[in-house]
Amino acid sequence: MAERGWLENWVNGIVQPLYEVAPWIVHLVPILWILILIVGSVLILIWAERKVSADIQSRVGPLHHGPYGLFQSIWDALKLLTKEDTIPKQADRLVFCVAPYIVFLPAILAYVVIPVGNGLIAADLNVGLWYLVAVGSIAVLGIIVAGWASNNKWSLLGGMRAAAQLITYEIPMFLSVVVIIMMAGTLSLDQIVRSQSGGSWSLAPPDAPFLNWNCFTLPGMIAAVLYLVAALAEVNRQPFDLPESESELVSGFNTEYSGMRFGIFFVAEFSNTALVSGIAATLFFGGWSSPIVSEGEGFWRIFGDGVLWYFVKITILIYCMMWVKWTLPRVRIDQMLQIAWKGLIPLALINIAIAVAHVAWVGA
Amino acid sequence: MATHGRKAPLHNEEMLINMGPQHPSTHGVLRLVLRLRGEMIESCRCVIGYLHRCHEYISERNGWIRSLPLTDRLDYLSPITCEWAMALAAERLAQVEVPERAEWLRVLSAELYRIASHLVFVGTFGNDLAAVTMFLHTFRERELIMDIFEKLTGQRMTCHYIRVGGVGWDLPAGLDREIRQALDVIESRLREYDDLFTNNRILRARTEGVAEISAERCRAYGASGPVARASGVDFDLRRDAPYGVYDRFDYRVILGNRGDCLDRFTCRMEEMRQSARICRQVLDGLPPGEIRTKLPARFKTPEGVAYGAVEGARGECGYFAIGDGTEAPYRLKIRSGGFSNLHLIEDILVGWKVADVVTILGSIDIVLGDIDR
Amino acid sequence: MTVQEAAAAVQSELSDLAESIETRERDVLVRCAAKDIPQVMARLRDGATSCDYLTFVTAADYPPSEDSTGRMDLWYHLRSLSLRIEVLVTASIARDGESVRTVSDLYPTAVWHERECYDLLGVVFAGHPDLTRILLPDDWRGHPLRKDYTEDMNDLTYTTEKRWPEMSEARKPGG
Repeated sequence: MAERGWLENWVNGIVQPLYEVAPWIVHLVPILWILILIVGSVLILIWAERKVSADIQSRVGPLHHGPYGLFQSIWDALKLLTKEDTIPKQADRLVFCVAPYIVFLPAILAYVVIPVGNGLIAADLNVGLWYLVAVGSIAVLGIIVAGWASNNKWSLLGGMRAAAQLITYEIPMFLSVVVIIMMAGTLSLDQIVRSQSGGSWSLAPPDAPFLNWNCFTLPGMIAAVLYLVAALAEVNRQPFDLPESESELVSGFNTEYSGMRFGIFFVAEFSNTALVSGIAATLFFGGWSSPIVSEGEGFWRIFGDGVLWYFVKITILIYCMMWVKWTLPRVRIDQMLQIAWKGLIPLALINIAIAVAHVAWVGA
Repeated sequence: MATHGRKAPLHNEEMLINMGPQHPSTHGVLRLVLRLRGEMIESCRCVIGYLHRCHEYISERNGWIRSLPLTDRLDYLSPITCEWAMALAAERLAQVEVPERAEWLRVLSAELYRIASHLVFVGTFGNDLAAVTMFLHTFRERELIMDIFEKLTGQRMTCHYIRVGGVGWDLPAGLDREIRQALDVIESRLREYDDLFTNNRILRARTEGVAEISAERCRAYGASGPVARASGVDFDLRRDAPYGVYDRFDYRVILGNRGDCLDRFTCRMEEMRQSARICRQVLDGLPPGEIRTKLPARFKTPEGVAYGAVEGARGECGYFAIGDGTEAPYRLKIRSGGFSNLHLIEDILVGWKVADVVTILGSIDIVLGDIDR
Repeated sequence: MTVQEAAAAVQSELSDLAESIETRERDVLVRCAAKDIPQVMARLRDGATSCDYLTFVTAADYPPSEDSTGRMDLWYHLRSLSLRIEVLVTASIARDGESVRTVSDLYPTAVWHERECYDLLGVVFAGHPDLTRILLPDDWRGHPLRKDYTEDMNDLTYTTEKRWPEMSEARKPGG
């Protein structure tokens, strides 16, 4: 039994007395903290996106609501709630209303298996990665039907592009994940993180435990790059944001959405960003394991293995994703498909061969 | 579509789509009716006239002096172009001499606005291709030029600087130094844009080889300006149909060879550098003197015809005037570069994809105020 | 090529067709009959003048008055980009009825310029592939740059009921 992190001990301290009162509380706790995690990360990410983009564009960004404009996201969310709810006259009403939730659902579902901290995982499925693969594909459906149901040719074009793009880029994404499965020998995300913090592949010297991370192996490095590029395409971020390309398709598949339905798409995009960063951090960059060796007690335990490092890693990854978004132009649909089919997928297949060699070499 | 029989070909639906007057990337109120097959464009029809403000009619009614300020609103990104063309037509009709200093100041203002207009082009081109940062960076540089014009004329964009017989205001003290500083900043930032944007692989993939226009087609369609020069048509009104004092300055006419979107983009980037070069030469050699010829209180143009054309940022902007001895032209025809350049669109879009529409339209660099007049 | 040389070249091309050829400060002004316009333009394009660039096509309206019948003056401006010369060609047609042949088969740019001429001045170009209004709405009445155009030819009050009668039905309560 692995030792528990400090945060989990603290949470348990609160939950334990409640559990004595009402045993069903223990099922609510993970749901609650996933929702807090998602909502909190989305609010902060929206603010961060605006500040980072402002910085790159030599502007200032939100300033007025809260210190450094931190409460801007809350006001934006309230504004979206008060907007008129329009549904185009000839739109397919049921599908139109359900589509945003289909896109948002996978983000929530996928968080169930992400280990945010030492022992902090909602459900440690032993088929965690398979579950992630399956759940991540649901979002594609939501975008396509959103484009179709809007009864708008521009949205339809956006939906069609999404179909091509998202389905194509799932392949290199999952091929790169296969490499990790081979190297870690398990599908459980918690085990993958533990294997990177000095488990059975411990080749690293004791004062540099981070060299155990998967990204410092050759197949892992290639897989990390492949995964991050494919993840950009999967979450519709530039340079791959064709389905909602603002300048060409006037918002693509979410042109006709207003108010909170648009808000759900928006929230889904940001929570997906945090999600793929989280998955990348977990699979390649050691998840919640710390790059420094910390034996401190009390407050200093925060710098040991735990939640803090998970958030630091996803912050760095998300900052890089935003940096790329605001710097690069957008690719065209055929060029994007060429990148996937002629570049990423062959590379991913070669990488699997490299991983086989790596596993054989390390095992022997 | 259902296909009956084993030999029936795969039938693709044809879609009629409207890139309407309101669209983020049509650079104004332009309507494109596109017939698509999948993502490929089969035909394109341009509908213009949404910004028709009857400039010719107003000028014929109001007269030369009172409608000169309106010309700013035609090509509002480089207003000096149309002002100068109208002043040229009036001066050629009435045989008005323009003082030397005024001619040099006209060149200075026109070239500064050419830089400003091309900065807007680079920014909006980047914006259309989703490199949004370019838009903000180039507009930051454009602010330097706007500030210069605000100090010179009191206005940023519709400056009414050129008058019949000269210019409106003289350079105030200190503006010389400010213009030089602005040119230094702009030239250094142009190098930055080259690194960040022009040499970007995604930009090259999206613009290289896209919508090549041959020189014959440019000539046949009356295209002028950077659009024609990028296709290899070696014609620049400043050099080949001279007006003002452009023959005193040393500058290069930028030609492209393939005429694709990338050539049109790099032509304009280079033209900015050449314009900066001209501006420095003007500041170095500006002669003293009057800035405006004294005109009679009621300026009348005699009978006759005259055509005054200038090389604007968008191409040849010309005013054809028929005088009749009164204060207003009998007939004033405004020949705008964008009108003829836009005509190319109906031909060159065919065969490209929807995503290329914004690239190609952006590379033509139209301003609807100029086209619809 | 100087203006004098250009005038000489034009003279050699159009000696039989032009009514008058005038050398001006910057360009050569050619006056000819309206029915000869396509031939004149073809010779200017293909001959020694090699005017491969049509700058604009326009017209000026001269309504009938007590000392003249009405006429419409057509103006074409040509450039030779290689020789750096300008040629203005002008012809007169009647204001209504008689039309002039299009030059859009020689110069594709004339398609839009002649459409504008038709739109604003009512000049009908025979043989034009698509002679419809270009700047004004398709249901506009009259030609504004004619001197006898009055503003009451078109009802400019703009209401939804007038412009889209079917939409105003939908906006009524219960619609």
